[in-house]
Amino acid sequence: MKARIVEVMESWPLQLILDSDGEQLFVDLDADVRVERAGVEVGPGTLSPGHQVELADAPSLDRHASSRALPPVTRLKILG
Amino acid sequence: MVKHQSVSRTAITRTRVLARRKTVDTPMSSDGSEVGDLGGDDPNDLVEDCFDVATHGGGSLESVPGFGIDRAMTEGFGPESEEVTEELANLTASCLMEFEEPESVCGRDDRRRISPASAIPWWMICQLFIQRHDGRTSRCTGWFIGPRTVMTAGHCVYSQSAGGWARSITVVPGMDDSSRPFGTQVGTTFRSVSGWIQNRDVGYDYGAIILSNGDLGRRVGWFGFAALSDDSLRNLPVNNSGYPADKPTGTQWSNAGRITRVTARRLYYMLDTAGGQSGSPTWRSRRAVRHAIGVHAYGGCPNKSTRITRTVDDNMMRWKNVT
Repeated sequence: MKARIVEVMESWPLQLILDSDGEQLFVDLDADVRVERAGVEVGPGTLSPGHQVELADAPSLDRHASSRALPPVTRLKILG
Repeated sequence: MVKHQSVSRTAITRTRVLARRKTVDTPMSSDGSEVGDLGGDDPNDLVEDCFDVATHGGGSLESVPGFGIDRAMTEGFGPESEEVTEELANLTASCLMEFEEPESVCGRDDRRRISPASAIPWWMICQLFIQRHDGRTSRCTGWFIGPRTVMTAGHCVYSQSAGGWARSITVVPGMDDSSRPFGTQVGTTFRSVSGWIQNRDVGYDYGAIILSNGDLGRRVGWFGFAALSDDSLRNLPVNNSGYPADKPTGTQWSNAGRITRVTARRLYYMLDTAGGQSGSPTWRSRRAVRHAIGVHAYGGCPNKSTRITRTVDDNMMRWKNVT
């Protein structure tokens, strides 16, 4: 799933507010999340509002499930 | 329902109007006795005093050994406020730079560890260990605003992604590595507002933990807080301290700088923060009088606090005086 980061909540692990096709999603990152940018692994501190990201393991993140407990995101790619 | 309507995990009916001491247009000291020449206050500021359990020297920024106050006072402002050297002109904007380890560290990481954290104001700040609604664990920061009341971010007490209120939160004031100098207390009663719980509006991302008694709060004291006007907040030197997860667990780290942008419900700054610092206080320190003016909640450079507005202040007063 592709989305745009709207906000980065600084709990630990981080929580993100994402915009996916105009729908707002709240997701957790795993404490050991792997963040990748241009094939290089970077720290989750790189994540910023405005980044386009791809959640590699988010099949359950349909827009109607945003209020339910979801598994944390373990892999995420920054697209731009 | 208005967005600032207080929402609690446990139903508590308030039947009386709580007495409160607030001042408008009158600067006040921590003991309530001083009406001094604290010039620059705006007539629209609303201030609630702190409760210090000891005296402490003060200044515009908290005094932390090794901390570069000059840089803190200028970070986040455009080059027009500085001499523009060739080197400075060619610098990459700090928010465009990447730093692998720390979260939301804007430019050079100039956080300073507070150790021990058993002095004012650091001991009023708490590491929070959270058992979330979904059973997972997380960490945040909180700070006492009353004997039973620990202020924090709304998403620390009510996680949208976890699907509800936290099950419990362990509060550890002044934690320093493995040291818990004042002990701990576990809270299971929480507060936030409908703007966060129902509307999911980041401008309303604040909440509180209500402890079962005031034993811990009376030992460490509590922060005052203030709803300052836009004019008072613009460029204001502020402090922040909390428990970032990119540092050893249970260690408190402080940073300071100026507010760079003020909106109706949020404060923006380039103070360095990290995951785990959600809920930490952003405060003004003037002549040993400290007033929190925001609840840190968001990263991404600029980092952001939920602003303590008059309606936020009203709710904090209600939560502070919970009976």
